[in-house]
Amino acid sequence: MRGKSAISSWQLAVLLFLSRIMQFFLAVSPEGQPGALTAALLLPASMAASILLLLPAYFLLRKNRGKGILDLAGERWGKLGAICSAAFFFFSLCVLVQTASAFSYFLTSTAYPDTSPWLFILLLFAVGGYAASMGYEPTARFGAFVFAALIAALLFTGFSLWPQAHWAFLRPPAGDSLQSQLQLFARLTLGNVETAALLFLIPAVNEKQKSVFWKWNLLTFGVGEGAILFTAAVLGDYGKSQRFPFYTVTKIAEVSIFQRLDSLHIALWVFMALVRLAVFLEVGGKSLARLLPTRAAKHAVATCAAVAALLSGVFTGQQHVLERIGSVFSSGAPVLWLTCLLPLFLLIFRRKGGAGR
Amino acid sequence: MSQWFAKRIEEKERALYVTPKPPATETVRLTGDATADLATIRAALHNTADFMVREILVCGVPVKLMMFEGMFSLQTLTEIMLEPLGDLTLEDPSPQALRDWILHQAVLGMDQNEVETLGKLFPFLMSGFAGILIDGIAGAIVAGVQGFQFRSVSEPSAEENVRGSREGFTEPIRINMTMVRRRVKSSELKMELMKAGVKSKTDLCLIYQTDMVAPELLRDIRRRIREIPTDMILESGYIQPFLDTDIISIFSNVGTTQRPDTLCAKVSEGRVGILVDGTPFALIVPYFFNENFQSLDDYTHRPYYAVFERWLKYLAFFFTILLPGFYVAVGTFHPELFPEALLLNVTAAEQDVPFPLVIEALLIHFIYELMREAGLRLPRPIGHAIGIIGALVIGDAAVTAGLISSPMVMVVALTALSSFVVPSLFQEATIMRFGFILIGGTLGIFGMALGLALMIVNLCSVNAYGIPSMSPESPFQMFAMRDVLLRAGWKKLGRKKLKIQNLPGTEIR
Amino acid sequence: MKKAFLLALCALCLPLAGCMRSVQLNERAIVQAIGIDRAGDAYALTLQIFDPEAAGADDTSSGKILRAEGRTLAEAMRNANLKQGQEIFLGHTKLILLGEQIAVDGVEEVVAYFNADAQSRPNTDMLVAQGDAASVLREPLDSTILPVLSMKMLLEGYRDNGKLVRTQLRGIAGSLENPAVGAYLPVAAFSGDEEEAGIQIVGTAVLRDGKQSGVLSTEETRGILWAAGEIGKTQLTLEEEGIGIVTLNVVSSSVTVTARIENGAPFYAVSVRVRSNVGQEFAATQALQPSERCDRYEKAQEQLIRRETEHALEQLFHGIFCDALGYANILMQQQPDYWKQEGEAYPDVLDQVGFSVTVDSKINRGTTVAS
Repeated sequence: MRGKSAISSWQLAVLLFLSRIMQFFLAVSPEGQPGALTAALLLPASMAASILLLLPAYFLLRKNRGKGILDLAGERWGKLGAICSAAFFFFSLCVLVQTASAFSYFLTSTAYPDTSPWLFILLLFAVGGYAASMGYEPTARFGAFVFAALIAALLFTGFSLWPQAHWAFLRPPAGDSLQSQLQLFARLTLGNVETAALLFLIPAVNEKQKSVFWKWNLLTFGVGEGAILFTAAVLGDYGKSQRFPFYTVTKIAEVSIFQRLDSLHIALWVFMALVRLAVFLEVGGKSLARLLPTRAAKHAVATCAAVAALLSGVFTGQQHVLERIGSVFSSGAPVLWLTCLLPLFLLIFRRKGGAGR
Repeated sequence: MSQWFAKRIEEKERALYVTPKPPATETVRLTGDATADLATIRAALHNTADFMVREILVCGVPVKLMMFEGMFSLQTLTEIMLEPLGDLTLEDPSPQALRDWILHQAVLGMDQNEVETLGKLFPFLMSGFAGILIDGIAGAIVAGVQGFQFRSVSEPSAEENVRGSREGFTEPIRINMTMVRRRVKSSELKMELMKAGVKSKTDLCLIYQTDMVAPELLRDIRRRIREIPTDMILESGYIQPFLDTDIISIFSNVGTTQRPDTLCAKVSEGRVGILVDGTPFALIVPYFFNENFQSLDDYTHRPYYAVFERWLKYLAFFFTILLPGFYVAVGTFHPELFPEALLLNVTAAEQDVPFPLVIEALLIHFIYELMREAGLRLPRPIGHAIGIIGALVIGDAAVTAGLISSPMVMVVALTALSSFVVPSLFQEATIMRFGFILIGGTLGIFGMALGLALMIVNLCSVNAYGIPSMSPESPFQMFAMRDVLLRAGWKKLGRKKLKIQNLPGTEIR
Repeated sequence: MKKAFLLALCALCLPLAGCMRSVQLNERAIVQAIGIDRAGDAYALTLQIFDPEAAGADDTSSGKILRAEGRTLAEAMRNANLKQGQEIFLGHTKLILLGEQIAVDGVEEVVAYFNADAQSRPNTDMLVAQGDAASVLREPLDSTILPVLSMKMLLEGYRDNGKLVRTQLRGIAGSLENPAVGAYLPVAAFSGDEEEAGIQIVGTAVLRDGKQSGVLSTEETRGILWAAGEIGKTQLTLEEEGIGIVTLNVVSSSVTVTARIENGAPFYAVSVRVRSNVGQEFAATQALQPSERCDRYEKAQEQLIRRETEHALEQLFHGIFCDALGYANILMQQQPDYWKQEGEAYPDVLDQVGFSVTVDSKINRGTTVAS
């Protein structure tokens, strides 16, 4: 199956990986969060859990090769399918708003203290929207370069800070309460919005669709574990006073005259944020296109970008709205519905007389 | 709204420009009445001064020889056409017999053809053929006796190499074709002649290897060439945009070369080379981004050195587009990125400069581009003077006068130097450099990152005839890296051949 | 649509370009070292600023001093800004020198300021001045071209000789986050007469809850360095009967600490591993075989290091009552159950904390003098 804008399994895995890692990087560590070692142990557990989450989708898509989840919803439920499209659209809109405002918050609190967040949001959405409007392929190819840059940056940071890592800072999980561990587990599993993106984008992969999940999780596991543990070991208690611990690590890393390379890391983070925005703009745009009349559908990505930019700009200053969005995500409901329950219902319920195959 | 604008623009254009159309006499057929035909031809040519006609009698049959002045070789004409015609005695002298004799028995030129219409006749005449009108035959016979003046084969000025052939393409297409053929004596190498240009009727020659090239690619190229609406094609650059991708990008995926050996190497990987008559620059389609960093020398030098050279070129490219912008961005927004001692030096140097860093950078790059442009097309002796002015004015006086700081001069020197390392990306690099200076000076590293992302996304979205232009870097293919990041030795490289349509991500239409 | 995006981008760039505030290099005051003192209720800042005008000229220092006061550090910085118009740039600050009074009153506010400042580096060195920070910072200005560099070299020299504990801003900030651990800072003093005036490191200040609660001497400082495993190179001079005077050059050292609970209180087993070369030896030992000599040196070295380390630990845990070495982290990691129950009270039971020191001492390269 070699249609237009088909990408390989590695390409999609790298895209999802970058998007996921960006979420790790941008996560503001709240008080009373379990230690790094706990997080590191929960990460593989959450990956195992997301296999369960994706099982219905797996059976659904295996039976209907070459079709996306929204194709099937439209096919089987007719008008009701539009609700699924709308759900995916609003879901990606929320992810976009959250990412863009978190990133502009990051930029204003690190490199550009006196700049309006509007500037960052508009420019990010303009470039991200451009990438998304070109289709999967350019974004995926761009992702490969970002991936290479990320690995280089991680290696540099790792090598330069290795002597300063104190492993005594890794506290055993026994120190954390069970409740906080469960919360973190749920956040890692159900707060993993990339699972929904995976489900949405998988028909674009032209080979070995199943392996995308493994490749993606392998990368996330390798880099995520390393980053979490290493950051905790290097920063220790100092990390608690930092809003973006991963960024602080890059601020400290130095080799010879190469010091304070954090602005270069910011460039890398901009790339990663763009990848994340492009991925979800793609999801949002494709879902929106199903809701719009055919003539307007080709502007779906642009519309999605414009709406998301507007909302992010408006909400950036309003912490309670962002917190509300964040709490909806961390409740896990959106991911659970979109990635597990929706395919499950699609498997079970069909409209009477629907094509269904 | 946009349609209304488009309409208005079209109206304005119509008043100014005309769309090229072929002349109406194109399809006029020859009648067989030589005198009348000649009159038609003269009329169609508007009695042009360089059209020559010689009337002779061959075996009692009136024959008119038509030629364009200076296009034929008098010696060839005499030896292989006039002498045999003069000596000819036919058993049964009739126009038909003469025609049959010329067409089937005689060799009156290297290349012989019979044409019926003016549209077919004129291009032959105008490329140095002699036309023979026989009274009573509805048609003309053309025979190749070309002998016009042209520049001899010489070293390719724009693509010199340390090792390798000293031959470069020259203007006449036939000579260029022989240079290619001489290097590849294979039955698989095919040359295909086409014509383009509504008025100029320029000869084009597609060169490809039948066993390597993708048929879809070939079909697409032929279609694109057929649809070229331009009336004059004076250089291969005229048809380049028509072969280029449909996505707006400042990078082209049509390559040019002046070297027959490079052309042969490209063709052997499944690409199509296009020779254009009248220019020593051949086109290569499709042309990928990484090919800009390859040169013939890479393949003749020792592998380890070739790898070093190649990395130097990659580095130079990023230097030449990013360095000034980066310097401005760091100086304006992120001075902590400078190593301490460097920051102190730069600050001390910037102390008395009256301009902001970004203006300073734009100014000095503008001056540099001015001088480069001035030196480019001037007679050589004056060009030297420009060099002196440059060295004195920018290098010394501007710094002493406090207009420009000396680190900035270093930056421009380094940038200029790097830009010459990858000459085929010179134009792109120059424009992007200015873009990055502006972005860097207004938005800092954040803007630079966005700009770079935009550039990479744009590059990645380019699919040249269905083959990703960033291939094989992305979509990544490990095996192809031996000729991208590395340059494997010939013992390895020669064993297997890359076929471009097999690169990952390819969707040949 | 693609065209629309590109157009939108270009259109956006123009009006937004002005949004970002750019500061030219010649509008920045590059701060190289900061001295912070108390002046009544306010902070008194002493900024050592790079002076580009003077940088080119010979024989003059390229630094100038700027002083400013303010009720908070931020206000003081702004006042410093107002004084000369240039933007204060902390991105390359090498040194933060705290006045003694500040250290005694608590460093929390100072650390919080630098922590929140996006430009400043987390790995800026911090020192405590004996007395006024201003007087220490001002002095070396006249002597060298880049005063802060010479100061840094001086500090590095001290560190290489085991006389200085290096403390960075992030270390202090980290210790403030964890009430169980303290921190230490080198103490710098200005001393000497007319001819040989200069900065000296006179000891190590120990911070408990961000407040200076004791000062260790330079000799005790080395004990801390052994216990923290931060000795890079140093020279040990052994002077004992049967050995004479021997100088050993320490080439590497490391420390392993394990925590256990003994008698209901934490107990730390500190094991130091030291490798050194023989530097210089005097005649007293010439009578012995080289291998025997090495054995003796090893033993003497072991005793010396153990004595120093034990003394330092004794001082810290039972004298100042402060876990400045951060051993609590090891306790947390190795005895999580204990920590869960008793962790809160850890700072109060420091006097019951036990420790043992073992030293694994080896001479890598023995003497070259044959007997």
